[in-house]
Amino acid sequence: MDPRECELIEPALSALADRELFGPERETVAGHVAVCDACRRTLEDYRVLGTAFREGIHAGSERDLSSITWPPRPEPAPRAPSRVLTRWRRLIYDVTRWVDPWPVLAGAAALIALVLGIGLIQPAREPANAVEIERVDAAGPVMVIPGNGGRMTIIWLFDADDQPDQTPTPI
Amino acid sequence: MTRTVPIIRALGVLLLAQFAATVPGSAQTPVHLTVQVIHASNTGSAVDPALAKIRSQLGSMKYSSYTLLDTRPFSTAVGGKHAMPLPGGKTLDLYPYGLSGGSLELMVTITDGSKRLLDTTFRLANGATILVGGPAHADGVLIVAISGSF
Repeated sequence: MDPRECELIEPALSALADRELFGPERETVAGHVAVCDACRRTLEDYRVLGTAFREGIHAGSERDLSSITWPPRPEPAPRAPSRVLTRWRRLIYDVTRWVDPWPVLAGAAALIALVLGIGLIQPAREPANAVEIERVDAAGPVMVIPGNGGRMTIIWLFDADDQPDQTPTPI
Repeated sequence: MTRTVPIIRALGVLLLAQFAATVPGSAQTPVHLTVQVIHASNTGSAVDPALAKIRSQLGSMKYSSYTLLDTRPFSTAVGGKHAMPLPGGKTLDLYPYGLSGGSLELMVTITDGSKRLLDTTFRLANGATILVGGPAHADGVLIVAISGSF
């Protein structure tokens, strides 16, 4: 048998085994296989291989796949609230994009320190009146004399014998 | 459960006691009162050195001589009543009845026998002094200086 003829026939052997050749082409290939032992063995190998392949596919198609379970896909973790771009975060983000916040913060801190410092160095306020008279009842005339900016008070009781020039004078 | 109830009650009593001890104006607040009895006259021109603290206040009166007759300190508490005799048979009654707004609320009466010469209530700031004068005594008048610290 001419080996060159086998080389030409061999690619069609698989199609002949699969019954995919028709007409004159099939007759040519089949005629060659009838007289060539090597190509006939190759054709038998294709047929055996094809049978096994089809049986494997058939067996796989009849397999019960319902018992196969895959691990459930983990749910995506929710985004942390701190990472959510809220309206205020968006505003801060937009502002800080265009304005450097550190000079503003430093100025605010200096202003607060100044206000607190002024408050600390102010002298303690004295009460407006060291003595506040609520009620005075006396047997005779009485005079209440506030003086010295409210830091002192005199209650003066008068008798009939009192001389006018003996009463205290407001200061 | 039966044990926790007495413990809670004991804690409540302790808290109430602590609260009562820290509330301003409570009966536990110590009050120090000082009463100075002064004789003012126009005889002489001496001013008692013990009156140096209130000399500026005495200067507003038209007397030339001031003599300290008696000094009486009272260490008391709000709600305590005290009395002291004044020259001439008069009596001074002191009644610190409250603390409010950083001031001591004080009631003072001066009686001469059954006659009430003065009955007044006032608020005294810490360290302040009030002068009550006018009752005749010897050749001048009596002045009572009342100071309080608390």
